[in-house]
Amino acid sequence: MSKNVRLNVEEDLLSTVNELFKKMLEKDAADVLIVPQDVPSGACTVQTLVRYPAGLRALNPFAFVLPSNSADILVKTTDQASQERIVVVFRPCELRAVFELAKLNQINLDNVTLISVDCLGTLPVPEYVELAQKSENGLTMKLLFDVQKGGKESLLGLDLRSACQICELPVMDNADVSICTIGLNLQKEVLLKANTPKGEEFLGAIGMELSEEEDPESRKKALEQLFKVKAEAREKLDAQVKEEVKDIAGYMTVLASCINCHNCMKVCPICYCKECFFDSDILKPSPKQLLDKSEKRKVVRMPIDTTLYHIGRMNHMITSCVSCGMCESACPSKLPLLAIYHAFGSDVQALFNYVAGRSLEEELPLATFKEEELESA
Amino acid sequence: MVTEAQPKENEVVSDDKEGDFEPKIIGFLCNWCSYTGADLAGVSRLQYPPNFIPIRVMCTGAVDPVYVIKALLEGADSVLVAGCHPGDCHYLSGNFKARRRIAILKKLLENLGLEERRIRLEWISASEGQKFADTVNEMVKETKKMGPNPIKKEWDI
Amino acid sequence: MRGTSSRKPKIGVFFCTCKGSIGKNVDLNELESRVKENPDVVLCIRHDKLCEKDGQAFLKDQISNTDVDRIVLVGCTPRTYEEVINKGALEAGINRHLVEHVNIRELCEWIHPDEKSATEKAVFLVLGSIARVAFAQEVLDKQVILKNNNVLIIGGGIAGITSALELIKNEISVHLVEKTDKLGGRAYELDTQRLSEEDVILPNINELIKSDKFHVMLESEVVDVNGTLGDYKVKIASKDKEEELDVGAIVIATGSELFDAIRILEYKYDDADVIDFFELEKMLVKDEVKVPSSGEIPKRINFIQCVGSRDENKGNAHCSLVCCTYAIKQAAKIKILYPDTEVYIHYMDLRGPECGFEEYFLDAQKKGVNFIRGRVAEIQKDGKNLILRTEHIELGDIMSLPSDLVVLSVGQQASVETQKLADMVHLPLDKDGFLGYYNDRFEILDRRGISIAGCAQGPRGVARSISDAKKAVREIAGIMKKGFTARSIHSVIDETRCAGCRICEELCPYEAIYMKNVKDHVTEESRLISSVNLAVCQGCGACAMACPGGVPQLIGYSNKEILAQIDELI
Repeated sequence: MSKNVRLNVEEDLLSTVNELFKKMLEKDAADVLIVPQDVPSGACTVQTLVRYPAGLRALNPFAFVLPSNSADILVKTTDQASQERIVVVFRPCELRAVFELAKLNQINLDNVTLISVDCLGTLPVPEYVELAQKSENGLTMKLLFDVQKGGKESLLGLDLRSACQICELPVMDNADVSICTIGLNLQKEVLLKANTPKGEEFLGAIGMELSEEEDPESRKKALEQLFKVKAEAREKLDAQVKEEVKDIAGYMTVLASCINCHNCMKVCPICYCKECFFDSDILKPSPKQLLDKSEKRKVVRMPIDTTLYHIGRMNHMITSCVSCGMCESACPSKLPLLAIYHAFGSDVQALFNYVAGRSLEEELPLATFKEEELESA
Repeated sequence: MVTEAQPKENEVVSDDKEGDFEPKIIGFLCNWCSYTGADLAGVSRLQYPPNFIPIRVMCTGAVDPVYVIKALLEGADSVLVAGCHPGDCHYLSGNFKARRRIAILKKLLENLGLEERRIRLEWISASEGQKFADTVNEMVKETKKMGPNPIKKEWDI
Repeated sequence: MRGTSSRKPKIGVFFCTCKGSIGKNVDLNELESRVKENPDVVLCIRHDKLCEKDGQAFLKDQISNTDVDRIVLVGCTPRTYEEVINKGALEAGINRHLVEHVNIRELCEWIHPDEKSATEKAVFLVLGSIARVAFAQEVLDKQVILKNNNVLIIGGGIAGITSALELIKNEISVHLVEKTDKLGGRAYELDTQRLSEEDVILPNINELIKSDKFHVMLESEVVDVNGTLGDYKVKIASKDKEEELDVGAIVIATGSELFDAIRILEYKYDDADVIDFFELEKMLVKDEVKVPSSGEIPKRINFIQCVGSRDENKGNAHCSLVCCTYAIKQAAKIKILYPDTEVYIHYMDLRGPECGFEEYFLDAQKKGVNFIRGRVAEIQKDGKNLILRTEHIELGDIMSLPSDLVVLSVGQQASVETQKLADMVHLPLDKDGFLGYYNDRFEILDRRGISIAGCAQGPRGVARSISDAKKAVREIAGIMKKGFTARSIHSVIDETRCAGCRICEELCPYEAIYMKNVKDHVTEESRLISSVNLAVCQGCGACAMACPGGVPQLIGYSNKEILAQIDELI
């Protein structure tokens, strides 16, 4: 069982958590924090690097917006020689990407303390920004209470991103520390959990007294309900997209509006290559090759290699896809990329009994093999 | 968009009519076992249909799935990847690695409605000329039954 | 490996009719005319037998007299005549990677009786190779000189000493690590060794010690090995210090150890008068054998063979190979020293793999040594007397034999040191725990700069250990002195594009990928990227497939070449 501590909410939830993180810097439990904060206008929430307590003004790890998957920030801020102690607050899908990238040797977790928050989902960025600009202060808290209450109008009539609607892991129980909000009376308290020895030590260092305590009943129930809703949505979406692309014709119809911007690759936390294979010269046809094709096929849809890009990229990253949905959010043509990756990805990952980003211990399917497996293939 | 021009398109390029459809099958043969097996089939004058076009690679473990995707998207009706039997790989374990990659690719393409049998991974040793000829015969027959690669109807790439 | 060359390729296509065996089903005229349509083809010509002398001369002439810069050879399978046919092209100055072979004999002519389809397929095959060779890159064979050419020998027994001597003769500096306090190992104690005409132990040790290229570390042990051929860093722990050695190659001569007879309770090894063959050997060296408890000359001596050997339940499954020879030699010598002493050898079957064994055996019989076939059940103690309870298979009898002295012929087994080292250098052990698995793959090991000499590979005697050791270091000595030529097909890594995910390192079957620390000039980020150890790379292409970015590419089999070929074939 993990060790917990209940954190009493003083003024309100956000300022209480803000103080908690200030303490980390004041008590020298961390050199740098990577935490999401509201921009001054309140229009959006962005990740920030914070070295001094004064830099923590508007911490908001619960905002209903995720402009980008923050795992990439750890790729950029850690290397082989990293010495500084970094503490991050990430959502579960971001942490899953962190785990995959650590296994891919893109992140050095030696001096990083991972803190996760319960995630109730995020809205598409443009819709969130519009909403935030219209709203008074306290949008996050309003949405948080509304969603916890449930009901159709809970998000002011808006829909979560599809990735969030079908989220498999809205809570993460193997980050070093998790900040739990689901099923708790957030006017009174939040729950901090230390899931690893590193987490225990960390909470100890900022003066928290931990005890072994089971989750409150209200949390268990709320989680159960949440998982159920997400699972239903997942099943529905998987079935829907599999029907939509059930044959090549369907898939081609979906891809017909692809503008070849490769944004899906650029925002994908898993796409770690320095230069994408599908952007490289390797695949660039010569003018002659291109023109010759029109002779062979009579007609060639341009730009060439769109399908090769999509299937090829999927083939490269699908075993590590954490279904964060950044690809879909970034797609100017609104292709149902998340839906496809999730439906196909869970099939492929099931081949190896692997769930991307579930843990640091499970071996990457592409980095290993077994002598006895897949015999029927 | 090409979709509108399609009916015409089909007439020109596909050999849909049952019977006279001659499939094209691309095969990636590992240098040490399956390519030598194909040679043996030749030396033994074991006939098989000419629909099969081989590409020599050093090892099945070097067959990048992108080759298979490319071949299918270019219009190959089936693809064979053939190498040494498990445990006999000239490079110790290339065939095991290939097996994983091909399994992943098959799963993806299966979801896109491409028949699973259009991609085959076979173990054919240097002494199995007969097995090589049999495999090609079988694949040609099977591919004829499946009909042309549906991708050809969507000429896009 | 990427990027189309800006220069237009000038491809020469040579058709070989294989003395008329190609051309009955494949219409060569049609094939040629189709090939000529390709704008990259500048020469298209036929010959009867390119693999023969005049064919080679023809090839060379044609290439020299035209400006072709790459060629496609159309004919038989490259699996047999690739090297032979290439010769002419190479001599004419065409790089080996700019030559493509198209097999239209085994893959067309001989199997497709229908001329139209056979020719059609041949056209595809040739055009595919033309497309492929157009993207081929010239790569010169790479001569690699090693950073460090000292050799570390682990183990100072007969195999280690022989290896050291052999290397020093080749002017190579040697570091030898020995766990005990003296050189020589078990062979040093062997009487048989002294009996033989050339005593290889002492003079060799003396010669070694004289050499300034010999550095010995006694009572020391290897605790960690890192690096690769030409650049190994080895941590060595001695009694009071730990140091790191830089060496270019490693010879593992950790030997074997003797089975501990105490493990077989019924043979009463804890009794003073039950000894193992090695203890007897120490007496024979002094030309005198005494019963330990009484100090008297033994009247009856019994040898028990296969103690701890060929017995999976109580000892080791393998045969120790040398014990029969040793026992027969020892028995014969006892008969020379004490003709009146009765000597019995109890065996399951006698095995002597070395030449001359039969003569030893007959000689011992002549001297009066008794051979009894059967497994000894137990040794009983009756007062002060030892009694062997045994069967005599040939007589079908159960016998009780009194004995003054019992000698247990214990077998050799894998030493703990060998097992520890195997782990450090990532070599698999065979089922008996020895490093025998790689015996037949010397080349691969040599290319890693690791050699195994002596009993670390499996049980063997002095003579074989010596010849083994000589063989084991021969290749290494050459590589240490002159470096090596990399295989012509190997992997090339574009370092600027490597993200350092290490999947290629995981999947390389030869540990040919190693990680190299680089610091980005602009960002100052320090990161590990993959690099190919050309000594070890066998050119399988596993790394190329492992990398989603296409960063490693196999020479002659790059993505660009194969994708161009696929494009053409369909």
